[in-house]
Amino acid sequence: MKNRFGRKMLLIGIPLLSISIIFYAGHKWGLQHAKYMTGGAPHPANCFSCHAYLDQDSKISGFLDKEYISPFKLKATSNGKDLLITAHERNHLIIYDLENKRIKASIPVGIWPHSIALDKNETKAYVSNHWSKNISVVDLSSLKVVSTIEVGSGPSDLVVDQKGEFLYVNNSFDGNLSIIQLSDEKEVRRIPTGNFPIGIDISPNGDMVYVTHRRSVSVPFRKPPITEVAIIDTRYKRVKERKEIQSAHIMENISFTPSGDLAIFTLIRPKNLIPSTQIEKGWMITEGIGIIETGGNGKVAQLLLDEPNRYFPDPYDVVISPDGKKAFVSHAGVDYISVLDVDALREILSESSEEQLSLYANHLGMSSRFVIDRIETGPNPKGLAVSSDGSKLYIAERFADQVSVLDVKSMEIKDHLDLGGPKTTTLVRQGGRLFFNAGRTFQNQYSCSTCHPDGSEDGLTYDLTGTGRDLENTITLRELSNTSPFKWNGKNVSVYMQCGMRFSKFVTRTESFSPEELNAVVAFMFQKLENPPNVQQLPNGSLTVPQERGRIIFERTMTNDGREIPDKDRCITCHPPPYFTNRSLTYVGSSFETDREEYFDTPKLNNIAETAPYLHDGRAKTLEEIWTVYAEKNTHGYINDLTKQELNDLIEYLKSIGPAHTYKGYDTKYAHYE
Amino acid sequence: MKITVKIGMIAIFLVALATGIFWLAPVARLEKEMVIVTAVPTATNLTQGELGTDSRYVQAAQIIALKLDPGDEMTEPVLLTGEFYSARAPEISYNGEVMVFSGQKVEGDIWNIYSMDLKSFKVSQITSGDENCTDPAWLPDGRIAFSMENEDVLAGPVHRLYVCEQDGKDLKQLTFNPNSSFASSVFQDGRIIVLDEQKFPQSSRRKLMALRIDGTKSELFYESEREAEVIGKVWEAGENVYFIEKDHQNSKKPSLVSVNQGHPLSSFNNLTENISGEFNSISPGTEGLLLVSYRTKEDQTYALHTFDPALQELSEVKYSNPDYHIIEPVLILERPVPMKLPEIVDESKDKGRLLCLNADLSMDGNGSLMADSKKAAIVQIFGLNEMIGEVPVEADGSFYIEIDADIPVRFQTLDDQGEVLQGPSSWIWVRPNEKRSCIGCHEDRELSPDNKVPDALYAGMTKLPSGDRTEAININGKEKRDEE
Repeated sequence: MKNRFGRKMLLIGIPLLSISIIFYAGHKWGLQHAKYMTGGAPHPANCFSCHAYLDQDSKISGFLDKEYISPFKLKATSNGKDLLITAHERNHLIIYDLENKRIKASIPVGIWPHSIALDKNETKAYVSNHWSKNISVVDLSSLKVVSTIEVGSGPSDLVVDQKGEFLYVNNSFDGNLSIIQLSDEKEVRRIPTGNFPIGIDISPNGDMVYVTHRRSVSVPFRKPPITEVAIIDTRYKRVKERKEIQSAHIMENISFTPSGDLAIFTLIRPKNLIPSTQIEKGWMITEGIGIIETGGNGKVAQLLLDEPNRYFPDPYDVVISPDGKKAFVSHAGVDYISVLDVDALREILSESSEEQLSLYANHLGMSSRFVIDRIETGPNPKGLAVSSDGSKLYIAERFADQVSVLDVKSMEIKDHLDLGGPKTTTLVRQGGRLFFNAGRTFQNQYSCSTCHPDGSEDGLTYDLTGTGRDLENTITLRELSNTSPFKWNGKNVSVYMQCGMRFSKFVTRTESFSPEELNAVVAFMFQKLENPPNVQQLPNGSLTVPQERGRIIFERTMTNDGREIPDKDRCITCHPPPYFTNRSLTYVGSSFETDREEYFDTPKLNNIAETAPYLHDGRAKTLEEIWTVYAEKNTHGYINDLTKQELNDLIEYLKSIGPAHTYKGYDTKYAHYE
Repeated sequence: MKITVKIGMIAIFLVALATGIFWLAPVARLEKEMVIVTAVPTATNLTQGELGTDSRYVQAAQIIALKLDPGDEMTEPVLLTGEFYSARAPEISYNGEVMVFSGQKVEGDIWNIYSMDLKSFKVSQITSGDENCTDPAWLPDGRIAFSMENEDVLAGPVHRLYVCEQDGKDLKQLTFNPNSSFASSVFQDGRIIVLDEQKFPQSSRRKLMALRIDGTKSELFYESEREAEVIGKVWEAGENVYFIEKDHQNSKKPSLVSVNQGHPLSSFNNLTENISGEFNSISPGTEGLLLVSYRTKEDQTYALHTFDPALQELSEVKYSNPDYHIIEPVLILERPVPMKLPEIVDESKDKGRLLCLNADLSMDGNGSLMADSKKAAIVQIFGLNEMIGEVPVEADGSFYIEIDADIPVRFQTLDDQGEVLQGPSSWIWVRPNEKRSCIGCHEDRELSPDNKVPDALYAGMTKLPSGDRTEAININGKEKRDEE
């Protein structure tokens, strides 16, 4: 009896004891691992919360994720019956029946549908497909795509002229404007406009098209950004003038007043040149509008929408009421709409000297003179549309999968148009809400998206140490998976550490993300921030002749005169595909007087053509300058034996490097390929 | 019957008896939405609406709990601080479960900070030093901020702000000016709002300062443009901030006013202009109302009312007592916890840095940029007793210095002829390891900085002497690298 009992105890006890030991040891190791990966921040040892989402192609995350609608831009028909909505995550154009409050049609279009324009008779809708290099033409009777117009890369905002003859389309990635003759849907001209054209509107008299840009023109190192508004003469189809908007960028959208006397556009005024010693009083980022007087004195002004203790980041869309009295601005980073008194704006312009306007551009108290209301919305309000009678404002709430309806008279949101997205919020979706919301910066001054629009980078260099040293060029957050460590000196082993407690202490200066929030943000970043197709490659993904020559140079092992290039001096050594980083700290002779380090984290090169300037502190304006100005002694790879043509070819190849997933089949840790 | 069954039945009986005693006995229990107030005997000299030194250490005050709605079984106010000779300044924790207050156990005793569990009524002493401590406020991380009376050599008695854990440990000083500072409340953005009054070299009107919970980034939140000063605690409710302000010039009575949290310097609104009588103290109530302490005439006692800020309407008396002023109402209710701001102070360091972007930037009395301003060539930095040092101002008006942490300093600018242009400024301090910046010396306080690299960064930081007052050392860019 006793022996049987003893054996039973052994049979049960030993496994239990073993499991306990393994669990205890494993749990202890897991906690240490989590502590290491998060830089010591408290984080539960939950393997799933991190590892399910770390791989961009994870099957688990793909299984758990849902396809949301993510309404982006809007267009209301003039008869008040329909609302057209680009559903950028679902790649559809949604036509919403406003009278019967139902979805009339959900029409598949291209990849990442961006904006909508209507033809003169409102029988056709033109939808720009930001990642497809084309425009979908949708017949509003049959509710089908009837044709596709090829344009440049990254088509974004677009507008049809009042006569219905031409369609003007911003090609954001190409930096130009496609002009389409609508009678035959053929492109008749493509005009260079600037660095990432994004917003567009046509003057009420049809004479001018104004194009805003997201990125600054190239400026000398440590000088303020300058972003342009290009003014295109519609008669001659050429750029007539460029207005330089000083110390501003990310000018996402523009609208003319009905009288045409003002063009109002959204903008951000970064403080990247000032040591980031604090965040109070707009020390990092301020946000507002730009105004161009089209006639008269032709003044150009910038006015902040922020307040001294309250910020309204990521101003996105601006629309003007039909009576010209009110302007509405969506603040994607803080879930608000600002309502502006347009007459008050006119008054400020007319009474102010240039010197005063220059002061007002930095004045956080000015908004009280022209902001008449602030209305809270759902998460991430993006596109706006005013009904033709001016009674309603439609607000696309991207992370709520709905359009809210604001009654303009009462200034209250009276209705929500459900677009039929999933009713549950996945971890990735929650992360998206956090990424695009400024709630985790002090006084909501800026969101992750402010410096990383669409998950990319703003092209600026910041002084985040607050000492004038260790300057940091903003990096892209796209395709972060498998590219650790992070930070220019490689000190952050994971994104958890990068966005954790030190980040909140020295950058956002408020309460840090909770472990659950950090999980969500990281999951979103890893799963959803992708690189668009590289516009430099041929349509079939193959390389051009110069690019192919450049690839050979990139991968070479011998100099032009037959000597072997040491392994450490070969491009491919530090930059192997698919991410083109060996994830190591490397010395490339790019340490300058402001740096304390000499070894820098090797950056990835995917879609590098889009992310000027270069080097860890952004002082190389172009890829060429990396070698011709900052690495003359072969410190950044063995280059000095190349001819100018060969250097050009190498650069052409670099520019052709596309998203990491297009280099499948290579070892993700350290690739060698023939 | 077996013994075990008997024992079990006795145990059950005892438990039932104890439960019955607990639930049936007439013991007052505090509930949510009850109001806690300070009751001050009318014989005590409560200065007209002010909480000056005398009022902070009132005689024989008590803290009581009230239920405003009639028809409850509890009709009498509950005395919470019966074991104290005097107690006031109640503050309720964010979870609505603990009250902190300042109290004096025995007449003549040192005033200390105490906490009381609102369920068990257990009192714990938090501070126990030799200096009076008063006006506690809850911080988002559970610590307590309060003011301690110090004897400043030059300024005389001042109250400085401190923080400590709920058990009194880890005491840290937050303010270092020759000012009196009283913690008011914490805004949702995580900053402490402080009632501040300069004491040396001359007194100033009370204004509101905001600073982080580690004592860094102290800046003006609100200052009256009139001859008025802030009285009592300040509370944020929605987008507005409410407080009592006494206008010394016009009405001369304490009024309930508000400013918008987003732009406090340009949104003043007197909510009780048409209400005669005096306000003493306020705090947020429910449903958008405020709890206020008010009296119609000077010879009456302060009583408890509610106030609707949207309609600017004062309610009838909610509670009064002919023998006591009813002041400092607070609601027992959960409140949203403000942001827990990270702390950057490194106590192992004894220096901090200050960068001024443009010492020439100043406004005239009307808030316009001063035309034809002379350019500053030198900035002098003064401590309490003497000049600490002087540094050149760069061509763009910037200067960059390293100074001792936790000492009050003021600035004065001179032109190239040595004539004083501006100053001395208000007192500021930097905390250990703090890097602090300002736009100018007397700039418009609603201005954000211009985006340019200040020349002073290229010119290098000047380390000001301390202790033995040796020469100032300029560290240019190259040498900085080695020094750091």
